[in-house]
Amino acid sequence: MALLGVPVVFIALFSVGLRSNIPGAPVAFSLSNWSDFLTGGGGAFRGRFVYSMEVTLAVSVLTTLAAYPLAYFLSFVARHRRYALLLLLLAPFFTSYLLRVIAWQIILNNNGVVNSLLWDLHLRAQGDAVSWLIYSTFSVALVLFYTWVPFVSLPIFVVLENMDHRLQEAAADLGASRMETFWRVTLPLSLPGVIAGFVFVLIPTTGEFITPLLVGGPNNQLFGNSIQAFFSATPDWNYGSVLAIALIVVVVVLTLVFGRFIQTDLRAEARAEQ
Amino acid sequence: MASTAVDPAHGNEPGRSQRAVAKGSRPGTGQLSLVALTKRFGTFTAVDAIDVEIPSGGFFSLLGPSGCGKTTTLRMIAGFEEPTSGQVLLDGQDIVRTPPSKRPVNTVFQSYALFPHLRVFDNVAFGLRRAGVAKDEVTRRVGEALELVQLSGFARRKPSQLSGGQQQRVALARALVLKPAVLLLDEPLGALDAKLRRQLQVELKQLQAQVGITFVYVTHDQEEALTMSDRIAVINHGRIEQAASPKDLYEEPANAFVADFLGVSNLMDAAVSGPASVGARVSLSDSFTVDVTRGDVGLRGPVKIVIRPERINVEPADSQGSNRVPGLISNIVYLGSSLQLAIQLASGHAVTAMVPNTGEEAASAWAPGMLVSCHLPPGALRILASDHAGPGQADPALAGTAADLSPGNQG
Amino acid sequence: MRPVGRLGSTGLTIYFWLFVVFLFAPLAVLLIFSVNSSPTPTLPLSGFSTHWFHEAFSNTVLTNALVRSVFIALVAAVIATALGIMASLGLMALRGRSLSMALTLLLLPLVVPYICLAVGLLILVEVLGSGPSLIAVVLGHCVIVLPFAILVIMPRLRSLDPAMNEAALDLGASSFAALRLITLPLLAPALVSSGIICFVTSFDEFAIASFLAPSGQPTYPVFLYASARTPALLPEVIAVGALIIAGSLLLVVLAEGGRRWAERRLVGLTASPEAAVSTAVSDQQAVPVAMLND
Repeated sequence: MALLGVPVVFIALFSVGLRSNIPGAPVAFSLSNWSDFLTGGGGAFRGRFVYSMEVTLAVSVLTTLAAYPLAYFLSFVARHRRYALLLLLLAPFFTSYLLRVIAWQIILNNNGVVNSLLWDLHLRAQGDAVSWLIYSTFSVALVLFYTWVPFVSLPIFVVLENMDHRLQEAAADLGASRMETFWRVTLPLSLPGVIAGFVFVLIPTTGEFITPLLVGGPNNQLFGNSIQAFFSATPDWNYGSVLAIALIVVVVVLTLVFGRFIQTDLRAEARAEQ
Repeated sequence: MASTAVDPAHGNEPGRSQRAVAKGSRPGTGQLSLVALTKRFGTFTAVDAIDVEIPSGGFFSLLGPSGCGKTTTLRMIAGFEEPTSGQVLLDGQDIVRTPPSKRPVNTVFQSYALFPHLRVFDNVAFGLRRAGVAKDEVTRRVGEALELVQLSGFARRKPSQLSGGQQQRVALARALVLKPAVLLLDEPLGALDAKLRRQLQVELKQLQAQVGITFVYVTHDQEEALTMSDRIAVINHGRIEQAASPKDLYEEPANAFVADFLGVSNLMDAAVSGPASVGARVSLSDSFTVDVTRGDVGLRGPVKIVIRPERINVEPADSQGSNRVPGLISNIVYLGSSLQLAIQLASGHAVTAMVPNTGEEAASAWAPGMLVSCHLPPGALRILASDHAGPGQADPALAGTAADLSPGNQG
Repeated sequence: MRPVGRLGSTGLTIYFWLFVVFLFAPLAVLLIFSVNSSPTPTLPLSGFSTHWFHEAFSNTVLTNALVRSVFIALVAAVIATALGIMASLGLMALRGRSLSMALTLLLLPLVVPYICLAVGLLILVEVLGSGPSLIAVVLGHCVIVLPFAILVIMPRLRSLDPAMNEAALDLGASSFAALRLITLPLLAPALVSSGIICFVTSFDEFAIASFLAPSGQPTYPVFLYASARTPALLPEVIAVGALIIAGSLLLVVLAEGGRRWAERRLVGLTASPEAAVSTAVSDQQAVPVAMLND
């Protein structure tokens, strides 16, 4: 047993070690970068941070709202084929994320599918592209939405599945209409799954940077892009680390706040055995 | 796996002369002693200083309610739990430090634990192969083992293709093929239906007699233990209440727990008022006394007395004589081979009497609401100390009612 | 009364299928344009042609990048699965509080944004003096992918009847022999799943690779990104992309079919039916997380 526990510790240490950013490393310990970011001239980054959070929040909410009916459909309407249909819903995930974003770029581009279709149907003048279709908040949000909805429907589906369907029968038995049953019984009981799904979108999206790179314009870059910039284009590792740690802090806080809603079998089992 | 570090010349062999000549048995081995065996999980004591001798070559059962520590004890013998203190002596040698893979002890698990990805043959051959036995020898011994459990044609099947009873037999064969000194069985018949269970109980008993290996059997089913065992240890809260033969446990229970665990006991609260010509005089209530000749007849004061249902003689209400208490039949259960009468005694106690079903006449002789007289023979009653918890509290309210109904008070 | 009325049913069904179309549309777009003869992906379609596939596969930079990614993914999958087995076995010995803590520690990479991990690793390799290298990429991928391996392997390990391992020991097998002969074969479906998930995640991983791959040796996603901004290379990119997508979808179908077949063969190994259902669902949960945390 000890022989098997050692790799466990080793891996944990290894992973933690890799995540230790070294802000302000070589020369002297200084908080100037931090103060710059938080209060001083780093206003542009603060602004971008706020913008990022707004986009993240909006996308998370929309995604969750859109995912709920899908989960509901699977659990209540498509009773017999629900697992197969779930797989259908999730299948695009198994293909390359990058490729899917590139595909959207092709669709939304200035001479892409949507625009050229509009031109061919003579709904717009040839060459006149819809401006907000690409390199805009819309495109970034749309692609993120597209990517996440199926995945968000998963925890909602699980919760709906585990719910005792006889509760709805009981409600009906007591005289509730279908809408009332939904609002008062189904929805409240499925809330843990909904929150879990919401969190599944929220936390990773805070660090998202690939989508804005491909379908976002210069005004639509997210916070992750700022971090990335500091480590590649205009390298300033100290400042970049400041931003990176800020992001980690945000993520950790979010995880702590929402973490109790994320129920994997393992966590639940662990708690049950306590 | 077939070898043992124990020298057969040592260790006592109490039951050897009585054991049947066995096939492939190991004479003089398989005698287990548990010495002050204790297991604690944090603050919870699962097994509390158990001392028991398990003679070699017999069928020994650990009997008790769920959670009493019997399975933990078994696992300590097997080596899957390390005792907090105490010893497990196999033929005189303490095996507590030996890992389970090296102990000459094999286990049949409650879930059978057959390896689903291996065929029956490979399951049974598993231990032999681990021990490095030659290929031909393996084939031969697996064949023998399967024959022993009557599964000769099943070698090529997978466990998922077998019924519960067949899987259990494969588990048996797998353990027995290694010719262990002791075979441990952890409630192996629990998952089977009643009829199959009874059939397998008989088969297991015969098998044990045939191979002559010490069987240590864990169960919570007292009927099962009584049917199969040579000796039984009744365990409660990690302690042995009594270890004896089935007959002794049933007829001479040492305390209220044992009496009540094995069959219906009709445990009653009473008080010893003084000695009798034979045995003791016990008052069941203010108005009723009986003579009791068995059990702790030297005790005085509050005690419990027991009597088995089949020993209560149910007689018509006007029957005269000593050791008789009037009663009212409150319910009759027709069990086919017998009638179970629930009777409210005038002393305030509720008892169950068993009357054999001798035909039409007997069945219609009794009816609920009928007054009867219960004859409790002195030799069938037994006095037990009142320390242990047990049912049978006399209800003073009922005592009054039943007394009013006794023949002397009618009219 | 059914929980959804007929009107609701129809509405939801329409919504679902519309959404499925929405989901598969971009994939279809790629597939269509991969055989479109025009060098720009725009409507109207100009004609059927497969010459982009030829172009793509004669582009050595592209093929090298593909090979590099496959190789890295294989190594990362093997290492992570092996470590996942060890970690899961180690975790089996824990309970309650220490289990929660150990799990949190091991699953931490799931939560941290990959951009932070990537830059952290970059700093680390610079500090260690070695700079960007393919080995760093492999190691980085292992860190990311190990949680998925654990998430797939651990539930399956827990659902095994513990008596099985005890029986092996009881019959005389050493701990290692019991592991090799009993536990690992019974874990086989989970090991395969883990391998596939790890491979796919590593193959598609962009963030870490973009920082840690040496400049002349891009992994496929890094190459893909660079090409996406170059209109001239776009058709080749689309062609290969279409192949990858077709391949991925095929893999999904095969993996699911294979998993169901393996489960049927190993009937009787789960301790409870609830465990089997929840492992199925958590499997499906694990994979998408892998794909998205780029």
